[in-house]
Formats: sequence, structure tokens, C-alpha cells
Amino acid sequence: MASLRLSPLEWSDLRRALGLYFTSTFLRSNYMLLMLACWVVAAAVTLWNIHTLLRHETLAQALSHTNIFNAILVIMVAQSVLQLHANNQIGGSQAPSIPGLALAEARAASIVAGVTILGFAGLTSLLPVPFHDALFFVLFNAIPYAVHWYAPPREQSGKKRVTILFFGIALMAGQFALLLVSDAAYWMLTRPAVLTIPASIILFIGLIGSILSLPNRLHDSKSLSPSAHEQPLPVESTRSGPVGPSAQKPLTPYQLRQMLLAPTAPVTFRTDILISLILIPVFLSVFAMIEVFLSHRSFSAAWVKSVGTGCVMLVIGDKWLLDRQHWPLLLVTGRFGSRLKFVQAVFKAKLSRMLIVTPIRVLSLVVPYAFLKPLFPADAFYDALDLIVLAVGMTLCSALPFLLLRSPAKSIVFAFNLAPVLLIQLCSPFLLSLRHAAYLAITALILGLLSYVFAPYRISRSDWPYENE
Amino acid sequence: MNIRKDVLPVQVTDLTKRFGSFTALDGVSFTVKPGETVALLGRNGAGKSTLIGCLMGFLVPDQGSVDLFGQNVLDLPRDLRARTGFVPQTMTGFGAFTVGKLIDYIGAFYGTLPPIDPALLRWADLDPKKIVKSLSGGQRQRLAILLAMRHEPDFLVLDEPVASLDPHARRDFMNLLGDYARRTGASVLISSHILSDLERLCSRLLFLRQGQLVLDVPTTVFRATTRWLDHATPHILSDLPFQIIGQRETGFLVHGWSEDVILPEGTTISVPDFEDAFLEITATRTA
Repeated sequence: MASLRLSPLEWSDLRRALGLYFTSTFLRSNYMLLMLACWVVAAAVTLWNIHTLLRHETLAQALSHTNIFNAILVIMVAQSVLQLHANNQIGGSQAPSIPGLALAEARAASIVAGVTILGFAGLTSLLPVPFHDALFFVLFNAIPYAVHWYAPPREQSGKKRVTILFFGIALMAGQFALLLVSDAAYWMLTRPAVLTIPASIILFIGLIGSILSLPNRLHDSKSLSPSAHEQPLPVESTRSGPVGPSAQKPLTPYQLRQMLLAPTAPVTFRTDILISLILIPVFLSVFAMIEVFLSHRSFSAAWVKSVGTGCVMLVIGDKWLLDRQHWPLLLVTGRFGSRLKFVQAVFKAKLSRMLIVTPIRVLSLVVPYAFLKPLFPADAFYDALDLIVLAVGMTLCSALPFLLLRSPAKSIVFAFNLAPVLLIQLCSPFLLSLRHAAYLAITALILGLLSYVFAPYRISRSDWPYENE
Repeated sequence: MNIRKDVLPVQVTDLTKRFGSFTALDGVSFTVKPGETVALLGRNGAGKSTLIGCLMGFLVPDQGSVDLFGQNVLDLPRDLRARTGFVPQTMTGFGAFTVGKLIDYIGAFYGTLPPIDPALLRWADLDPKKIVKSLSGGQRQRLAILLAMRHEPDFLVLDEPVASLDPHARRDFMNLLGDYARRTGASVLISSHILSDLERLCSRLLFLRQGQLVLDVPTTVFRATTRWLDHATPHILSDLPFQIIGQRETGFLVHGWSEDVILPEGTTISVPDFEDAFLEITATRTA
């Protein structure tokens, strides 16, 4: 970790790095800022609602009537904004050679992160809740970023790295599991000071320490490993056989179609079906068990309460319109024909996959839900139908910016790509009446189909990313 | 900290770097003296970029050490780091800055600097108001070079710096680099596949093959003592003070040739083209 005593030169570095946060450079470099702005508004509205409800309700009641998840998300998005900004500088190919740059960026990020955390805790304490509880709440929900920021020092042994890695994963899993338990926010906001103050100090030091470890990334640069640009050449005289296709299993047509959608690892049809079938029930059962343990609610009640999370899993997937770096490479293969045909192939691949996996995921969510709630089969059928239409429609709506704008900014595409994850909870039949949910689902489907039909024409006549950045 | 003139800018000792089971560098040792301009030559995958990564302290050696200005590069203090400059193969990052803002921002990390060399500024020919993200690949490379040379480093490392430059910009840059080295007395280490540039600019040649330094020779000596000896048998040549560094159907490429050595009758001598010599020296063979 960097020393806290700064020389005059380091002070001046820090001032310059901090100054960047108040310039157009910060705004330009950060496609997450639009998301942050949206979530700041959502979080402010949520906190104001809780504040209003607290006039005639207890904190537990007020929290159960609002979506505190918005406030938690704003903490996470704010950390993503800071990470993106710092990485824009530290990730540069010349950054390791510039004396003091990485340290200055890390120090500036740690100060901004600290101020953000304290500011948001101050805002949360206006509910009113004790400041120490608000701070604990904010810091606890910043745990994933404390883990993400951390970069191990180069001299650290492999064993220690693995231990820290597992510790980080355990922390994140714990935070994530707790986050999905419906009473978690109440639990965090009502802990005694004797617990929250020491815990907050540890969490705060952990977060700042992790950010200050950022310069270690310079010695872990992927661009310097031989896989990036220095592959060993085959030895001339060891040609025991012709250079041919590798021994790896060839991709199935289903996987090849998925390649259009920029997945991290395209899976086979069978695996995709299997994952879709078990993903939601397994996750929701785990969350329900945690909730049973923490709140002494029955398993079925806990399962039913977490269907909102299940809805999110209906639309979690690839960054099909956000990550388009691979498009030019695939286009020039000629496999898909013209630019328009190519974009239409992307949309078709997305829709066909949605039509295969969404019904399976919806059934895996609605069948146990109907059984545990319990629900009449006809009602369950309408809920399922509504969810399928909603998920498919909203996913296709990700292309709306291309319909409305010639070259939408990355931040807008990013926001629309993430929007289904957030909106599907708010528009689901589990939260709204079936009639209202149905109106929204049909609207989403109409807009989605409009995007499906017309957006490819617009995208095929716009610039595609073909160089870095 | 003042740089002692008697301290070597670069001292590489028994440098080994592995990535998993692949050995990228295998026991490489060499030094660079003040004012030397050294070319790093080798095929793709020979270990050039890995060597540069180790030299700049971006990669940690598995064995051996790299000293810059007498200090281990892994513990290089800030004032010595500020005496180095690095040009990567391609410039990434800093996309949201304007060119002018980035030059000022990066320059400030080096402390108070003199005005930028007008010749360098003229050559770079960049609009200070343009956003880095909007620059072409070649313009970005010019910016990377400007950023690396702006503070007039004593040791400048360039990793294939001209690959994305147009022929005019490339030729002018090589002249600029030569002038810079002469004017400041800086040491320069450059890796490139444009052999004619390296032959013209560099005073010393380092040939890497499969992670090993197979030849380390001043350019003038290389020119004077590298010859094709055709119609000679290897057992005769092995008795002579030559190093066989390549071969073809009719003979051998040797280093260390001089007019004083008496060769067997029938042996024909010819001067190799620099590119042919490179191809022979860096060719990958098994025993």
C-alpha cells in the first residue's frame, strides 16, 4: 500500500489527478455516468419515499414498501464510474513508464471514493437513521468494489494470492446473498454502534487500501504477456505433420450463432437449455435458505418473496449491442452477406435465443412460484405469458437508441442494454396487477418488434467500431 | 539525484523470463553505454517485447536482473524513472483527453520541463484541441512518441515505434531520433522490423532468437566482419577464428571474418545483404 506521507511532488501529482474529476476529460471518458445519473435520481426518490413513509410507519414497514435496492445500486454504479475513470489512465500502454501517474490516480480515486461513500452515508442518515448505521450500510454494499479494486503486489506468493482471492470471493458472495434477502437493508440499518463502527472502520480501510493497490496493476499488464503479441513460432525442422485445424472440438451451429452476440463463452444448445432450466430455481432456493436462516421466515414464503430477483435472471445475458468490436471481423468473413444482412443476423440470433431460453426460464420461475404461493394454474399461465412477452420485448428494446439516433453515445447504448435488468422487476405481474403488467408487456413487445424490424436498417448505415476505444 | 556518468544506463544480467512452461527469455546479458543506439532484432516471438517489458520494469524476471542507471529496475526511484522514456507498439488509454491537455498532464509528472523541442513538435503535427480517441492510429503513435521524448530522457526505449507511421513520418522520425541521440547523448534501444532504418541509425545490433541473445555486435564491426563463405566445409571453418551464424546450400555465413585470415583454396567470399544476414541469424532451427 502506498505511503500516506506525501512529498511536495506527490501532492502536486495528486492535485492534478483530482483535478481531472472536475474537467470534461472525466465526463468524456465515462460511459457509466449516464447510468449513475439515472440511479442517483432513483435512489434520491427512494430515500425521499422512505423518509416520507417514516412519518407514520416503522423503518421495517417503510423499507418493505420501497425498493431500497436503488440506493444499493447507486453505490455500486458510483464505484464503477470511478474504476472506469482510473483505468482509462492506468490502463494506457505508456502509463507504467510515467513516474508517479498510477499512484496519483489511485490516491485521487481513493479520496473521491471516500468522499462519495461519506456523502451517500450522510444522505442516507437523513431518513433518519443513525449515521454509523448509514455508513455501515453504504460500506457493506461497496464490498464488491473493494474486492474489484484490489491488485496484489508483484512479490506476493501464489499461495497468498489464492488465499486473498478466495477471501474476496467469499466476501462478495456473502454480500450478494445478503443483498437479496428482503430484510437485509433493515438489518444493516439497525445494528448497534458497537458492531457498525468497528466494522465500518475495517470496511473503509479495506476499500481505500484496495484502491491504493492500483499501481500493482501496472506489473500485471495483459498486454505484456506473450499471448498478446509474442507467440512462439513453430520450429522449422519439426514439421512432423501439416499445420491444420486444432484438436479442439468444433463449434456447433448454435454456438456459432451465439458468436454474433459477443458472449464470453458460447455454450452448446444442450448446456444452454440445462442452465436455463436450473439457474433460477437453484439461485432462488439458495437465497430463500439464507433468508430462512436470517429472518426465520418459512422457505416457501422466502422463495415467493425473491421472485423479483428471478425476473432479473430472465434478461441477464450478453452485451449484444454494447460490445460490437467483433462485428467487422465477422462481416468480412462474408458468411452473412451485406451489412444489413449481418445486422439482421445478429437480431435474428438474439430473438431466436430469447425464444428458446426465455420460456424455459419463465417456467422454471413460475411453476415453483405457483406451487409455493399457491396460485391457480390459469393465473400462473397468464403470469408466465406476460413474463415471456415482457422479457422478449424489453430485450429487443435495447436497440431503441439506434432507431431514434444516428450514432447513439456508448453511455446511452449501455443504459438501454442494462435497462431490461432493472425494468423487468418494476413491470412484472408480481409487482403490478396482471392487467397493468400486460399493458406494459404489450407496449414493450410492440416497441421491441419495431426495433427488430427497423433498427437493423439504421445500424447497417452507421459507423461500426473497428479500432480500439 | 544526479546521474553518475560512470554508471551504465543499462545492465542486463542473466535475464530469464518464463510464461508458464514457455521460456520467453533465456539467460540474456548485455549492457548499453551512454550515447549508444542499440537495435533489438528478432523474429516475431523471439522475445523482443518481453525483453523491453523487463527492461522498463513492467515484467518481473524469473531469474537475473535489470539495472537502469545502477539501480535494479524493480526498485527504480522516481527521479531515475523520470530519466527513461518508452514508446509502445500501439498507444492505448487516455482516450478522453485532448492532445494538448494530455501533453500537459503527462509532462507535469516529470516536474518542470523545458519547452518541447520545436522539431519534435513540428514532426508530430498534432492539433492540441483534438480528442485522443478521435486520432488515427498513426497520429496516436506520433503522440506516444511525443509523450515519451518530451522530457528528453537519458534512456529511450522504443518497441516497434514506426509500424503505423507513413513513409514520410517514418523517415523523418528516424532522422529526428538520430539527431536527438547525438544532441542529448541519450542511450536508445529500438526494436523494429524495418532493417534499413536500424542499420542506418544504430551503432550496435542485438539479435534475439528463441529468447536467447545470439549475437551482440557493433554495426560497423558487423558490416566489416560478416561474410558469406561459399564452397568451404564446416570442419575447416571450425579451425578458423569465425563464428558460424548462418548457412545456405553453398556455404556459411560467418561473423569475425578478416582479410588476414587465410582461407582454403576455392572458398568464395561475398558481402551479405543486411536483410539476408538477419534472416539467417534469426532463423529458427533445431540441432
